[in-house]
Amino acid sequence: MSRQTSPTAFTALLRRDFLLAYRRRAELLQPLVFLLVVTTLFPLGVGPSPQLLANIAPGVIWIAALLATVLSLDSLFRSDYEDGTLEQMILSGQPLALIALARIVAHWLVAGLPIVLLSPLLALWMNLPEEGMSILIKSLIIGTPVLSLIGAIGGALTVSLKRGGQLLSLLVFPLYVPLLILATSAVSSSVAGLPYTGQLGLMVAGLIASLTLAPFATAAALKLSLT
Amino acid sequence: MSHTPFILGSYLIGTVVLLWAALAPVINKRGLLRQLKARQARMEKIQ
Amino acid sequence: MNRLYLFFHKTGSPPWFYKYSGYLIPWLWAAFLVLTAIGLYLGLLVAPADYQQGESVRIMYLHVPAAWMSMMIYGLMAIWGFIALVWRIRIMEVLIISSAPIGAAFTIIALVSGSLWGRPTWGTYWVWDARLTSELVLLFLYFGVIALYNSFDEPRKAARAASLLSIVGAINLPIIHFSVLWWNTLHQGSSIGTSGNSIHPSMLWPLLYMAVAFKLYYGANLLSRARLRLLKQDHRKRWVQDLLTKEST
Repeated sequence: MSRQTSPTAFTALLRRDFLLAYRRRAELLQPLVFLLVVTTLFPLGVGPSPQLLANIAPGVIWIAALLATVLSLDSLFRSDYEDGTLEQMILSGQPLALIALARIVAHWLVAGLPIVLLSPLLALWMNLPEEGMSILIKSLIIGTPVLSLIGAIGGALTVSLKRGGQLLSLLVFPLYVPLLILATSAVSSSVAGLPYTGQLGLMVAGLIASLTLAPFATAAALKLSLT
Repeated sequence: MSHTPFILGSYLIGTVVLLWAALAPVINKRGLLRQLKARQARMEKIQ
Repeated sequence: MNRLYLFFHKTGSPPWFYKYSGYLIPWLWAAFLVLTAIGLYLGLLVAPADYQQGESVRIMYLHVPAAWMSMMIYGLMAIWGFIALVWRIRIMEVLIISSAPIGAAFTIIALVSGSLWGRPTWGTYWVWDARLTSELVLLFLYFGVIALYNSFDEPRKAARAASLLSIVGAINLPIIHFSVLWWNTLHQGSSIGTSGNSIHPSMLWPLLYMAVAFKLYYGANLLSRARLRLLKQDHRKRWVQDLLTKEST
């Protein structure tokens, strides 16, 4: 029904998502504060020994990032689903994969990118050595979009369910495992002076793959949820 | 290591945070008053 | 007795509060600026550098008053919260929620300045000692109160929830501090603290000036935020309408 070209629809959607995000900015800060709080709990739980914290730092920071992302994913499609906008989007005749991609890009910018920006603070708290910090940031820059992409599939699958949020975490954590393993391995290796480019390379491959495939899977999941 | 950048940095951040915290209600209040006055003007026009 | 009762009853009235706090605010700002100028002059230029820590001790004149404020404000929120819950006084509710962002701001200043003090003096930006950790937890408590308040639609209900959380947090805060202290003594590590000596007068005065100055800042900012919130909450009421028409003329 719309005669707009797809790129215009994409940017229109992005702009709408940013406007909505700005209006709900208090809500969007919660996963980030959660990120900070969870990271703080680790030293309190395992003791402040600097060497121990440095050893577990890559894993702790990445796990905290996963948890924070999952928290922000639940609201990815939910409010649009509840007020019928999602249905309208599906009926609009625009390619649904593009709509999904717009949503995912917006999500990464307001939920994933802040994690990247906060990571130096987390690295400081967890005593991660300086050599590891740049690789940590790189791993997060490559990895957080993947978290948004794969997470969107889970979000789309569970959007019509009542207790969707809990199920979403269960669905999505197994899918995140390879990413977690590669990222933490890259950071630990860089601290130990071992090669890490292989791990980063595989992560980039994963990013490209999910960038091309996830929007379609998300679209299919959305159509499924709305029938 | 010179201590000056740390001292300057601390006071700078302190100033920025306190300034922002002090100005936020002032700016919001101006916006709110503008909104409310506009609404009042509209209500009076209707009556 | 009658006049005192009448005074408290009047301050509970939003238009009265709005009007008289408006007179008070400029004086508070002026006093804040004067005392800060004196405090900074004494602290940054007159007071000597510490013989162990060097110049970085000057950060203390920002860090310590900020930390004191962060705790004082939370304590006030808890006390007012109790009053607000028991006596349902709306002005108290407004004051509590208006205080929270200011408290959070002071906590952030304390944390950042403490971190920047730590680096040149003790070699590290952060360490998990009792004081720093408790201060960080305090920041999270502030965030929690603010987030809780913002998630309710109805302001009075939101304020009651925030009050309850403040009270619980305030009771918890000493417990948290002591538990972290205990946790810390188990591990031989770092314990940053000021040396046990009593403080030299040339350093004490700037500290006191800044401490009072920050209290004045808090007063001015609090009243300013409280007035805004009252306007927002009462925008349909007569006193706000009258105020708007008076301002337009």
